Amino acid sequence: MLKRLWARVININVPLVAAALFASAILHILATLATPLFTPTSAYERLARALPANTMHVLPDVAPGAQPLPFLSSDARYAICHFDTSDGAVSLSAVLPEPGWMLALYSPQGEAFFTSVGTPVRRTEVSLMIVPGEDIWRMGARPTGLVTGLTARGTLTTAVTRDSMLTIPANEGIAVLRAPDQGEAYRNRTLAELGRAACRPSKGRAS
Amino acid sequence: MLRSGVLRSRSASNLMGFTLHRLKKRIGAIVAYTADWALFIGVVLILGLGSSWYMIERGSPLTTLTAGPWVSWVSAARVDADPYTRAHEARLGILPLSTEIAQTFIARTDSEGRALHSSCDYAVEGHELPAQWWSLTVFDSQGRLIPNTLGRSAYTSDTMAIRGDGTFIATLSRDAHPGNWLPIGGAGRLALAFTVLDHGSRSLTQGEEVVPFLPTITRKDC
Repeated sequence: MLKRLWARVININVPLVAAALFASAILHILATLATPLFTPTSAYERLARALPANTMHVLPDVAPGAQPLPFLSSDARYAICHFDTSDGAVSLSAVLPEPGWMLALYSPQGEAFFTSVGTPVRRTEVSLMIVPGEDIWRMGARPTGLVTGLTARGTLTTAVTRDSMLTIPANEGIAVLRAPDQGEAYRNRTLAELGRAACRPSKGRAS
Repeated sequence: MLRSGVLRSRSASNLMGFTLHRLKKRIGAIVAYTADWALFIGVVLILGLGSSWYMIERGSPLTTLTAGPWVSWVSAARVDADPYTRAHEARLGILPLSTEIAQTFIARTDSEGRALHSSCDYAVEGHELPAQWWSLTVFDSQGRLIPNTLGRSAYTSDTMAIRGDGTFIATLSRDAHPGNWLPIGGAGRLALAFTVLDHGSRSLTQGEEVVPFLPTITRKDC
């Protein structure tokens, strides 16, 4: 039995085995790259579809049965803005008063291309102007502090902060403001801070 | 006359035998050829799709940081994330916190490698992280929060009752427990998430900073 098996092993079709390994590698790469494309509904689509564009929306408490996304914890409360710069610039402002607070801007591919966190030493104020790429030069902003993330997908869009500018990979995305759960005693204060965050089309846009 | 008849019959029989032999050889060749190709396709599918599934579902030392039962995807939600991390996020349908500012560790087993299940009680013991905001959340295996009358699924560094020496114990159980109790009744397989958020010091860029502070998960009763 072992002899027959050994005979089969030494008579193996080496070119065919090499071709199988090569084809496996190709299939592995294709399957991995295709997985995000064949996912029926991405997390981004699920959130963006449910929200009006360019409005900051405070989500209800994350609770069993009312969870917008899998593995989204109830350890925080969220305000979300689906921003879209196809009709012009969008301004975004938020305050991160304490540790645990966070603002993140996600591209449709789920990349967090901008993040800011609350620190223990001061209240962090974030004010961003998200501008369509073709408008940035007319606005006179200097392209300092460019951050990587430019891709061939979508229109080049740029977010301008008070002292820096960053290039982002699409003309739309999601801004997520996350406030940590500090218990019932802090609930109203947290909701008030979340409610103060703004996301709206910019009045002074260049177009 | 009789002899020529026998000869003719023999040659016909030989011809038939030869034809059958050729046919048998040809069928054998076709079977071998088909078997080779079937084996080829089988190997390609199993190796190609199987390895892709494994790398997306479980990850590898290149894409994940593993410490005991805890697993964290090291480039989650980053602009420079690798294709496996992107596929993992897409498959789960999650929008994770970027590892530039946070580390999220998921445990699906206890510290001895046994799958977490709601039919057992667990003690999650850890130590407060110095100057970091953190949280501990329990989900079912699909990442859904577990319905319970208290509406409690998570503790944070602000809400967890911590002892004087900086340590804490959270109990995962179907039945009510004093202290930090996370109800898990009826959920089946469980997943625990431990999230640590940076305070802007960028100390989490290397996830290893958090590893010594990851809680242990001990099975108590089943």
